[in-house]
Amino acid sequence: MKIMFCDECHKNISVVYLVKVVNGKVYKKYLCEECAKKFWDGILSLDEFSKVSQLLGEGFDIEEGHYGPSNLLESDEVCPTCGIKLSDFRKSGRLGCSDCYESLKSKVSLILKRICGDGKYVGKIPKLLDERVKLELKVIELRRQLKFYVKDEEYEKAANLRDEIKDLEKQISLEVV
Amino acid sequence: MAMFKCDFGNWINFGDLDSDIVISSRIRLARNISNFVFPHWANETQLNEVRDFISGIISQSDSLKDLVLIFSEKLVPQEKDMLVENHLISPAFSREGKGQAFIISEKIPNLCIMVNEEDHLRIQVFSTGLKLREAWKIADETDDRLSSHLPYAFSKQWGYLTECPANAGNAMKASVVMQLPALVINDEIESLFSNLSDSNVEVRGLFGEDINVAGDFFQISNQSTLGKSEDEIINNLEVLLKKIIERERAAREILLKEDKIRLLDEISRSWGILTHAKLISFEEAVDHLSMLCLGVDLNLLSDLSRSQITELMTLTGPAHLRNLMGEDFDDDSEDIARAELIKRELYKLREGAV
Repeated sequence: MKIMFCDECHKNISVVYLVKVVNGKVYKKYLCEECAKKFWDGILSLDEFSKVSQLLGEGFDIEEGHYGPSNLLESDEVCPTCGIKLSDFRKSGRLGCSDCYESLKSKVSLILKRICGDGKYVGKIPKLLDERVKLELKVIELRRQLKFYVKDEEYEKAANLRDEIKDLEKQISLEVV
Repeated sequence: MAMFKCDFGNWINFGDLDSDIVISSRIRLARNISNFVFPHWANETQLNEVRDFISGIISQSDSLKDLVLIFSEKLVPQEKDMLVENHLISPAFSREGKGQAFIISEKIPNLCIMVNEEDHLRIQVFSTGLKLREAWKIADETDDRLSSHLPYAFSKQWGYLTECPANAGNAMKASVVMQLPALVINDEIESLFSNLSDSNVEVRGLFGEDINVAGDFFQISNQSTLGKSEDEIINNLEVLLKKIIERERAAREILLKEDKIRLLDEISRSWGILTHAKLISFEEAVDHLSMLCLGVDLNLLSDLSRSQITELMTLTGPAHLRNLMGEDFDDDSEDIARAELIKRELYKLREGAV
């Protein structure tokens, strides 16, 4: 997914997708919050604009893959580790540190879900990672594989894999103790 | 400059000559070190801390002995430009420079790791032809070696944590450079790329930003990486690329069958311009050299090889040209030098014309 920058100022990330039809011709514009305000000013007052934004709310939030909520009344969350604010992230599209994924979770997880659905992490695992996390990720991967085997009616392989998953789960519960 | 005259800088030019449509492959892994601020928000001291930390780990670990870390500020701008022209580092990386570095390997010539670009580490492996799988194997091994010593920022839920959340997941970018002249000539390229928009791939020009790029070179890469394994991403991309290759081959056959004289005319005109021009810009040179590549692929040009032409393409880049001539020049003298170089090299490579 591409982050769209504002077509007006080319600096901020767009939060509004404006479509205008003039004499049958369609004009499209991606706008950031500030430039959108300028555009709206002639039509709506700021107060009305924020009411419209609120009305569109979360549904509009991640529509068409754009970041940012256009909700002017929302409080600004801060990451305690690096001090980056949600508004900094909205402007730049960049997080401050790995802890931001937790501390700004409300927005970050919306974006990630928009891009990849509810998909769980699949892929390689760093060598220095905790043994238990490694096992948990292995189980997720094997469960995915199991679905493919069932779909392809490869029941023998599926049964073996199911046993392997059970063993791993036993190991995980032992690690917890 | 001797450092980059080795195989490292010239990965584009070695390798298989069969790769007439997929010119090169690249795997890039984005990694960050936990407990350090991401580069965009870090001040110079913080950037230096990350760099020193990585540098320290590399120099202390036996299994990373082949890696050499070079501070960006030790390079003159021209050396950085050459790395950009070889597509080894990004233009943005070459411009900033503060607290940045890159890591090369004494054992692996086609590896280049950027330090403090958008993420703390961007491990890149390059290869000629369609060799994503081979490049992935090297990137994977290098990443394992690094992650045995460096504490990566990683979460069970989101995978490798990156500065831009859109890159999180396994954070792998697999990309290839394709040359699709016949699809461009036949006006099929736009419909082809607009059909690709749903398939989690991104297309852009290799030279320049626009879709109408010099030399009909396109870079095609995967987009999101969460919820798919590295192997799946590579498989999907390869299936798609094979379809594009088939279409390009079909378009080339149609051109040969139905419009051979027009094709010969175009190639001959390119040859004529390249061997007679007095002033030639990089973009124009790439356009015409690209036409010669097509001539070689279709056996319309004998005696020349594709690798010789692509080498000439690299040599005529502004930074390479300056390096070759050992002088700085204004626009006109650059275009004059380029025209002379191309003419001389082409005549050296081949007596006679099409």
